Amino acid sequence: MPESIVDRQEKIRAKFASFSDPDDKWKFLLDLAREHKGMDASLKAEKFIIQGCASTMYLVPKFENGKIHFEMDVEGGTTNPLISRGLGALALQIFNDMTPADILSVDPTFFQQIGLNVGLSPTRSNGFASLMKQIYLYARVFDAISKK
Amino acid sequence: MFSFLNGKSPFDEAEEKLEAGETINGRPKLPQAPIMGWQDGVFLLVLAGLIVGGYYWYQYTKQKSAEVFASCDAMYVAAETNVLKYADAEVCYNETWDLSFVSDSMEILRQNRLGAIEDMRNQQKDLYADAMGAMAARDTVAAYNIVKDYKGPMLLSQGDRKDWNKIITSEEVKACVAAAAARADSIAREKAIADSLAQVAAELRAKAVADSIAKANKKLAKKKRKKNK
Repeated sequence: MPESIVDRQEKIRAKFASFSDPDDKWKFLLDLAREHKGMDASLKAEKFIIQGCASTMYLVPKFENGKIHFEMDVEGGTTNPLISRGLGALALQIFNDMTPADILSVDPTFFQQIGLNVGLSPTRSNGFASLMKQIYLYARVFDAISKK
Repeated sequence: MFSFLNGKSPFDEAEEKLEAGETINGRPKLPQAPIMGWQDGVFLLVLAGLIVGGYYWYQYTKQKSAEVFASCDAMYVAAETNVLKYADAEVCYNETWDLSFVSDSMEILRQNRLGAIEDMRNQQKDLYADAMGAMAARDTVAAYNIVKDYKGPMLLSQGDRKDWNKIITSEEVKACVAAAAARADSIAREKAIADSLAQVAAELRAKAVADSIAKANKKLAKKKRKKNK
């Protein structure tokens, strides 16, 4: 049986609860970023750039069999924006390959509840909020399409 | 006792010789081949060189990274008391992208500090936008005050930095600010004069009222005395 979106949230909540050192969260995000596969360069169109991110973050949705699959990548020019990529990968751990209704059922404050925003720079917080907004927006659009 | 390169062991060679019928006192001749060929020796030396070299290279890159990160760290700490150093710290951390060894703790520090500097830059960019907006609205004094009151590090791009500095150094802006200050000063002076005049008038009014009350009381007392007589 495939994992539900609630199970995914609980897994991440438990992971964050297990952090004893403030650096654990950052290490977790760095690991997620390093493990995250980028996306094909041909997908990196301007229309997929998340507005409001300091780094250039691409989020490409694909609606198939009632589920939304996201491809995400972050570019930072000469720098390597690992935290931003890690944040994106974390979001996808919950939302990827879920139905629009599943996505829309997630409490937007979930990441705040687990303490993700603690110590996060305002720029990255804003960027993450923009990413979340975009994910919900895609979910709403695909939800409307699927109901037609 | 094994040959690495020619694919044969000394035992194989002994076997071949035995098959060829070579004997000493009726016993098979023992192999005379060396433990390994010179090619094998070279191969092992190269291998050992690579392992030792790799180890020293790893230690060197680790040491170099630690030194570079320590210097960036010192700049960042110094920037807490001298904000101008934030730009230097940012340059220093950006140079660490070329290092071949970066530990997790170094990475966390780099990401968080560059993030913090990016926040400061965004804050200054917002102020820059406000200042340029004020300039566009011909409110030079407001633009000047925004720039003057900013106490953070200079993190704007070259072009924006030029505009920013122009606001504070332009003679035209300075003249406007001076004129506004003079205007404000004269308004303040006029207000002070008006305030003191009003105070005098109020005091005079109060005195006149008191005088008239005293006069009336006196009149009343006189009338009373006449009546009693």
